[in-house]
Amino acid sequence: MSSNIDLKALWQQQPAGDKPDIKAVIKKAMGIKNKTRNKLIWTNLVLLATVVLIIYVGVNLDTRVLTTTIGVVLIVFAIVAFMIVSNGLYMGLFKSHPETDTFTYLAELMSIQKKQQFIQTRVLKLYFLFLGLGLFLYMIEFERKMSFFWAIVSCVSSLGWLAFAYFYITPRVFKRQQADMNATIAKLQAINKQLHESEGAQ
Amino acid sequence: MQSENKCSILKNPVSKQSKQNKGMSFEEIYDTYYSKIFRVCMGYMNDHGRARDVTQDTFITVWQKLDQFRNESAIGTWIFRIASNHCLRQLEKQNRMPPGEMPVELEDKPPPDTEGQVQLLYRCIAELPEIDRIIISLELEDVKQAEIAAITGLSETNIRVKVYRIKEKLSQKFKKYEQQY
Repeated sequence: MSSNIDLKALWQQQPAGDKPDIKAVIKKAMGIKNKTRNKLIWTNLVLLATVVLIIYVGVNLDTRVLTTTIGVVLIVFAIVAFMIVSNGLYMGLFKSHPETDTFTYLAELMSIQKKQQFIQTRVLKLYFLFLGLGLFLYMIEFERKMSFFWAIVSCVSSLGWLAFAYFYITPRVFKRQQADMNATIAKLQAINKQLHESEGAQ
Repeated sequence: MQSENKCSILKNPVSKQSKQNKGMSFEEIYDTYYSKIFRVCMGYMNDHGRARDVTQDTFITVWQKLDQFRNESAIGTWIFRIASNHCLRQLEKQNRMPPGEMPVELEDKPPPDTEGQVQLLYRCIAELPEIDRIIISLELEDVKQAEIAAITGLSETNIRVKVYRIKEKLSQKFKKYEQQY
């Protein structure tokens, strides 16, 4: 019996259920897309405002100490570099090409995943390094004018906050994402292998 | 303000006119291809809720990209490509989002009762490797093998061989399950 199974006839019998109202679907999807875009714009605006404020303070400071200037430059560099890299990734996500063939699309997906992983590991580390170093250099001038006690308090609280963010908050947030991403990359590679084996078998 | 923008996306006559292809409006494309795309997604996932979500995702992409479609391939090939790639993309979403959450939550109806053999077929297909699932789903959906080749990026000869082997594998699985139950 099994050798005579009409697979196509069976396949066609699968009911698709009620078709959702496509206008409502699109409206909601566009809403989600707008929300994501707005969130990205707001993040950029906050970072940009921070950069402008730091530059403004840096320019208007009556300082002759080189460490303060270097500190400002490092902080601004850290924020701007992080903005450029992460925006580049998000733009890439918005511009993926699901209309290409499976071969090409898989390669694109893997590239996006690897970029995301790169940002969450190396770029973020460099961001914290430059930010911490910049902050430390920036504060030297002011701490020298403070009493020993307040200099220690100000140094420990600002660098301590950065260390807390780097060693506690960030790893907790990214640990799960990294595990998901590694699993996805492994799975994508396995599918890619299926495609390459198929071509190789010819 | 934002909701006004959203509504204008759908009402704007210019954008509506541009969402046409060879005389087929987006709505006609949706009506013609919904069931086909749903079955391909079911073949890949064998999960009613997820298949429905991915079908919706597919048509959202079709709506967004229809202006860019340049008739380099048949519209069907183009839509099936988008659907296959969205199926592959589910790998990423599986861990992040429970089924039925994107983008429109329909009334949570139980999946329709289907005949035992139909269920068995979809179950057997879902057990195949991912690329095989896509190939056999398209083949059973009556997509020409040349088009399947264009969708997957594999050669037509390869598709022909693969379809033959997958059908054999499916028949064996059927036999095995029929003996069990």
